[in-house]
Amino acid sequence: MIAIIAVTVAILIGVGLYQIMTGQALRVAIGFLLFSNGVNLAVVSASGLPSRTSVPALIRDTIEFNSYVDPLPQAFVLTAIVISLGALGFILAMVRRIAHASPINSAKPRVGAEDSL
Amino acid sequence: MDFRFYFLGLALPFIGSLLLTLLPDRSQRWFGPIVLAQSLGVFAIAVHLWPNVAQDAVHVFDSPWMPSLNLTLSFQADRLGIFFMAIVGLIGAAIAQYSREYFKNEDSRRFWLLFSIFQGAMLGIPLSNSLVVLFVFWEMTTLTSALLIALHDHDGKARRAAVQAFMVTGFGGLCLLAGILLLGQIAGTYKLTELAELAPLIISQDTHQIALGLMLVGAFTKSAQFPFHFWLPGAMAAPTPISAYLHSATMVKAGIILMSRMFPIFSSSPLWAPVLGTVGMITFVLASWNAFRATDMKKILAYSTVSYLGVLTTIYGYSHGRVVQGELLHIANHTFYKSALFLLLGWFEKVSGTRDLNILDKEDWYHRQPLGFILFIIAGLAVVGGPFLLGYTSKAVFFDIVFATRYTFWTPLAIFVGSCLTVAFTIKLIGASFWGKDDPSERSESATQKVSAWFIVIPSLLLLPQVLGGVFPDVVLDFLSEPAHEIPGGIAFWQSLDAKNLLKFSILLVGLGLYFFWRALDRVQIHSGFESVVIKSASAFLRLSSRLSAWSQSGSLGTQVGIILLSVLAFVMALVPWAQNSVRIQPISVDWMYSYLFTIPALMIVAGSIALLFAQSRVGLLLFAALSSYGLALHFVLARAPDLALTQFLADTVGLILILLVFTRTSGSSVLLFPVPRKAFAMVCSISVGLAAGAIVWLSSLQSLPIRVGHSHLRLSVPEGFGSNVVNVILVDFRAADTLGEVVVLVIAAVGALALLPQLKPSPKVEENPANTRSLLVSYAVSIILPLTFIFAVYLLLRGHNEPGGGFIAALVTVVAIVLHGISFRTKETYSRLGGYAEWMMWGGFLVCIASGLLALFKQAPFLTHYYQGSLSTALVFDVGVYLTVLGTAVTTLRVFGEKAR
Repeated sequence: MIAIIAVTVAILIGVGLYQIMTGQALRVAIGFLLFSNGVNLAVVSASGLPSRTSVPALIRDTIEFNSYVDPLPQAFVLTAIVISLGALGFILAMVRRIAHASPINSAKPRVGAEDSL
Repeated sequence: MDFRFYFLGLALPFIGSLLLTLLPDRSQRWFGPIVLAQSLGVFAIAVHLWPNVAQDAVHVFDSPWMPSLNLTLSFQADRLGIFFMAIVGLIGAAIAQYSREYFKNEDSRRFWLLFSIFQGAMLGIPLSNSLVVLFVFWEMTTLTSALLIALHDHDGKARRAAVQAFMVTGFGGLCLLAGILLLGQIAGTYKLTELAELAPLIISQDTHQIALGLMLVGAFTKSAQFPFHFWLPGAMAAPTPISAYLHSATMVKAGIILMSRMFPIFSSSPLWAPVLGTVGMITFVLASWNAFRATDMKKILAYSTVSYLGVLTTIYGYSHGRVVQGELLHIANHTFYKSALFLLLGWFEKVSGTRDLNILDKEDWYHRQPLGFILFIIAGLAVVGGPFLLGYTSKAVFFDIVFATRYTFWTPLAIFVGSCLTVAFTIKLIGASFWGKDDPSERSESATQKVSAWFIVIPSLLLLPQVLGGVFPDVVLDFLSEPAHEIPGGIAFWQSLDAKNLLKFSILLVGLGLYFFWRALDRVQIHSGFESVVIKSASAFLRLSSRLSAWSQSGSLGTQVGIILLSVLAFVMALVPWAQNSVRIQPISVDWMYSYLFTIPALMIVAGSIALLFAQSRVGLLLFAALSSYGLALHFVLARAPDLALTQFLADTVGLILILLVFTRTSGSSVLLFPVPRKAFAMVCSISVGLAAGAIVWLSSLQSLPIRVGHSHLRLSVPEGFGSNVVNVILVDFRAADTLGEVVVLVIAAVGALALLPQLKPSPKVEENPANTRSLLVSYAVSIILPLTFIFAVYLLLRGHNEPGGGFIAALVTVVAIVLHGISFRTKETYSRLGGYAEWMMWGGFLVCIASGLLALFKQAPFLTHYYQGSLSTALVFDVGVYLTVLGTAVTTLRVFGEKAR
């Protein structure tokens, strides 16, 4: 059933990239969010999907080691999520800066012009 | 030997640099004394250490660095190293005192800082015993010297010279690195002391010639040897004290030091003597010729430095046996007279207002500045190896070494020509500048400037060793010559009146003749062809690369991202045929029933993403993005990843709120206006990249990897990490250095956002009254929820090691609470209240992370090894650091949006 995940990753990355390539600030920000989600999903899925008997990687005395899910990709992705957030913050700061610097800023807003990167 | 003083000496310049960085601008007047004190300290330590090495003992200090890569932090104390330490310290002190006057009226923090770092790097080169360590210091000098050349960065010429010097020495540095690595491969060690013992083994392998060649390129670029000799005269755009220190006394000697270090390893190689002898002699003649033709006094000095470095290179090439005769003598000789000459020139330029010989030729400075004239004469005599000076002995040793070799017939000829030219340019340097036909009509214009006495005192002090070495040769030469080796060629000139002296007199006569010939020619200018070829090819290369960048980097985000990703894709696809053979497809057993559950989050994600493509309003875009993001959070829940689910949920909430904050306030529409060609390109890119990513996920699932690192983490988590939440144990303990790096990335992102902040000026146009827009109910709720959230965050943080939670998640919970407060009370208030603390939190947290790992260093364990004591541990401290940093960076970023008032 990894095919489901593969399709989801493909769509997340494809749509994310398409949004980034539009060059409109809002879409770039959202596209970045989607793109990084897609990559994160791909990394977590690299160790396979858990089965019904899998348990989270919280060690308990009674559970056998083979039942735990692989904690390593999870650790990777956890920091990756936070870093994407940091990068998103930087992108947005840049958007603000550009919107502020553009000469249209003080004039009446024009369609699609102000928030394009 | 006591290595504590040794390392104190090495560290002094860096301690000084740190001080210079931290001191405020108003304590400018202390910068000079700091550098002066550190230089004198280095000198004193070198003098103190000298008795340990005077009898040719070598002391080595090793500390393991990366044993797996065979890298050791290895330092050595030997004659050359400690002697050079003394030179760097002594000349450094002289130049520092001189510079205090020279840069008196300038903002000089950058000069002192770079000077100080350079000094440390320069100490490191002769003191390193590991070639890798040497390389690190080597590159430090490359960088700092380029920055020092461009000290007056408003001057385009200085910038160009700096770039040129950097390109040449940087290229040499890369060659050196390649050569070092190759040599390490051949010999299995990077330590100079061990390499010297392995010399016969190394020479027996033919590949050593490549390593030797590459390392020599490094040495030749640094010491401005042919064909890389052209950068040094260009570097004379630097202020005079810098030229005196870097380009005559110390940095250009780095190449010589490298050759000296290579000498015991490679001297019996068939390449050694021919290459060094030829290059050295060509440089000697070519540079002397250039010096003879130049009219800028500083250019003459620069070329004369190059020519002497050529002499030194030749000496290394034609030396035999274990040691290079008179090595320290030559270095000391050149260092003292050349830095004195540069400083005298600095004085003369200040006094006369020019250093152009065409102008000075018409002025009579001999009568106006007799003292300066005498000093110039002494230094000039040292250049030509005149009697009663250290230079005399140095020259005699040089003649002996060269005439003892049987290599080529033309070497003596080259020496004769080069020496005649040296005599000629020295006479020209002094004669043309001081002995002009004074034209009374122009005298009023070039009035003598009043300058500080230090400008003349320092050079005369530097000339003192020259005179002492000439008049009392036994004392100085005992100190400078190798033990148990007598200096050949006699001691002082009255003791060896023989054929060599006859040669010298003929050289003097021919040189004098050349000088008058030059005067008769009325200084014809010929341009050096070689330099212009190099400059032309360099600029052609730059044009090509800028055209290439213009083509591939159009400036449009979309195109650029597309090009990057398509290239990556092409690269991956190219690897596929190769990878097919190595991948064994071996399906993992899949629990089908459970797997179908994953269709639910998948549907959420896919629906949200697809709908995004058709959404035309901002609200729509945000809602669909939220659907997709929370779908992923749900997926993490099903995938048995509670920490991830929490993080994903919180992070994307914060992210979406950030987007909301920014975009509800910038006006404009989100209707997609996309020209067809760009749209087609975007579609091609996104579809192919998306498909490739999906294919990679699918393919990776078809094989089960034999060893899962995760399993060892699972097993070790409780016994070694004392925590049952393995994900958190990995983050704060097993892979803590990784996490530290990620924390750094966050800090960088926040600092970047902050750097954009100062440009944001509040536009008062849309100022709202906060009270009007505040919802009473929400505000009330927030005031209750907020403290509870903080408590919850602390709870999550503390339990994180055993249960889902931890620093990252706790920080995100806090951020959500703050954002909530921001929404209900208007952002400006919230963030201006928190803003000041946020940065402190960010840096403080970062330092806490680092501090938590320091305990390990005291216990001789690797950095970030954690220690546990009941429920307290350094791992928890680390997690608290993570918490503070993430919170700090998030709030700092939020502040950027909060500061605006529109």
